Amino acid sequence: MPLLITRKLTKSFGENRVLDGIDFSLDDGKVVSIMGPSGSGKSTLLRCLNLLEYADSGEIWFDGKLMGVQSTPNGPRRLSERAMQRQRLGIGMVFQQFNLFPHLSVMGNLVMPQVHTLGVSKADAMKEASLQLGRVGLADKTHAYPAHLSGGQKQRVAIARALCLKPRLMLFDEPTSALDPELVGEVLSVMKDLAESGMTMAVVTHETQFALDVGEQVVFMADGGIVEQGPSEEVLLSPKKQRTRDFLHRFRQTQEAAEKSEFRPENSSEGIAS
Amino acid sequence: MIASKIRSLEKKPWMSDMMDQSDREFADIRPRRHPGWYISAAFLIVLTIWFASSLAKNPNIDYETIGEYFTKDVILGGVVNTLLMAALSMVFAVIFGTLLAVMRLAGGPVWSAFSWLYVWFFRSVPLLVLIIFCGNLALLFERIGVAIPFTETFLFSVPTNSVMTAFVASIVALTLHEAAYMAEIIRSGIMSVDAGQRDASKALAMPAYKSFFLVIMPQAMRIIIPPTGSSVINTIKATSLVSVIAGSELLTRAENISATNLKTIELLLVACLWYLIIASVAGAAQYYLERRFGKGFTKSRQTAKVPVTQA
Ligand SMILES: Nc1ncnc2c1ncn2[C@@H]1O[C@H](COP(=O)(O)OP(=O)(O)OP(=O)(O)O)[C@@H](O)[C@H]1O
Ligand SMILES: [Mg+2]
Repeated sequence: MPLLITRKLTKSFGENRVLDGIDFSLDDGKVVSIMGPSGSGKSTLLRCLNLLEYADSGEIWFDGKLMGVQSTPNGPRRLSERAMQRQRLGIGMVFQQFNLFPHLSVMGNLVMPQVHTLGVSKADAMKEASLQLGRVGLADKTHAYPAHLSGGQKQRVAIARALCLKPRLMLFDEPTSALDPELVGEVLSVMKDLAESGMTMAVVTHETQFALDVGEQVVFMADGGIVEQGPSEEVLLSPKKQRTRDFLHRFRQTQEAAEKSEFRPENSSEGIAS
Repeated sequence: MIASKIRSLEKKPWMSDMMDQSDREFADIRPRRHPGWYISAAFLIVLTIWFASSLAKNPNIDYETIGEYFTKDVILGGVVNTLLMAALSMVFAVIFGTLLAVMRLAGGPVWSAFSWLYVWFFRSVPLLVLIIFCGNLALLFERIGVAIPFTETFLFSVPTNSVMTAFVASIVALTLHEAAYMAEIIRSGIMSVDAGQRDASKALAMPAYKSFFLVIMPQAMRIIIPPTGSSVINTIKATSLVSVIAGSELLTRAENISATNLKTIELLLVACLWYLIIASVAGAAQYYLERRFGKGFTKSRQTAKVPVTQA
């Protein structure tokens, strides 16, 4: 049985229908890459999954439980904030802009959520924090403040911070889009290690190479709907839909143009299908 | 002189000029000269000395009286009362203002409207009017206490004048007034915090109140402190308004003294000196608070001495 299932998920902002019946599922231990043009609703989908945004209709099943709503005889009704807080605990999220707490040191960023949401002791929290920092290769940055870290280091701290709460599912919203090209590799490699350790992940990304190497599944979205989904190779290398083909074609062109003008690091240098 | 140098450079073809300089030592670049600064300083100093000397030589000011009353017990007691009044009303105003700000931003439609109305009302009523009103509350309600709403039956009550002393009335008026301003200051501080911070603490499953106190407020403080510093100084000065209801703070006492010895200017100067001192101390305190809450936002190299958490 899949860890995550969405059924006919819809979401509008005013008149703007941003999600229009999203159906997909993700098996335990698998990685899905969510791709698609800007404004297609990728971020909104992720935010609905961990209840940062509330879907208007449809269902999200996570770990066998219905997220964000309870059924009543009169239909589904939104849960209390407190109950949703508990449900969010199983899901970690990493943002494009890192969103580290700037007033806390790296250690503070990792310890504070553990102490205040899991209720573990400070000593245990610090032990766990050191462990996770080592895992993302930043054991030496324990006492630094976020303002003094590079973008790549910030994002790795953000990943470690989410992992400290021991989530079953990790959501990544364009984790490398705000990074200088030479810093993308270090974050992708941390994510790859994480995937290899068996973490279930949903990753919004434009890194096609990462989607091929690490992800089992690709969901291609446009205009709030899923245009095509399936195994990574199938969707990325031989897409069935014209929409997907056009997007990948245009995307590859801009990427090649970018590659001509600047150095790209090792693992993302090869274009796809070459 | 500088201009002529530039002109002489322009005459040469620039290529050869660059060649000439390629292997010569470059002198350090000195900062610009600012002769205007010295002229302005001289002007202001002269003006100040002139004004000070005309004060010093003024036969209408009796400096001995100033010296005598500056440290008199009555005046020192007034200073303490002023400080107490300002501190208590500021503390209540910050608490109440925070509540109002949270109501406005996250209290749902009813409390949000209440907060808006409160701020509208108490920012519109002049503080002096509010003070006189609170000082004369007994004229409106003879007794205050706990009653059954819409009836005249008191479960418990006391005469208004026994609790609403001039001192208490002053604190009530200052608090009601200042809370409206603090609500706006705190609201703007909260709104200045990046929305991503709220997302992150939600995604980390932190309960809303913990995210408010541990994530949002520490960052909002940076925006809140400077205008709050002004508010504190304003409130210290505003305590002088309660002399109209004989609040027994600094100005009331100074005026009481001058009413008998007729040294009006001298006692006003005594009060003025004390207000200057208190406001300066408050300003220094603000400076240290700003440094404390600026941590993590400045680019200067700094690391936590010990693992810092707000845990
Ligand atoms: N809070 C909001 N209020 C109103 N409209 C919103 C909000 N968030 C997103 N939208 C709109 O929803 C649509 C989808 O936005 P979303 O951020 O999900 O797209 P995306 O696929 O993540 O795009 P990108 O690749 O640029 O991040 C956009 O048209 C956007 O303007
Ligand atoms: Mg997005």
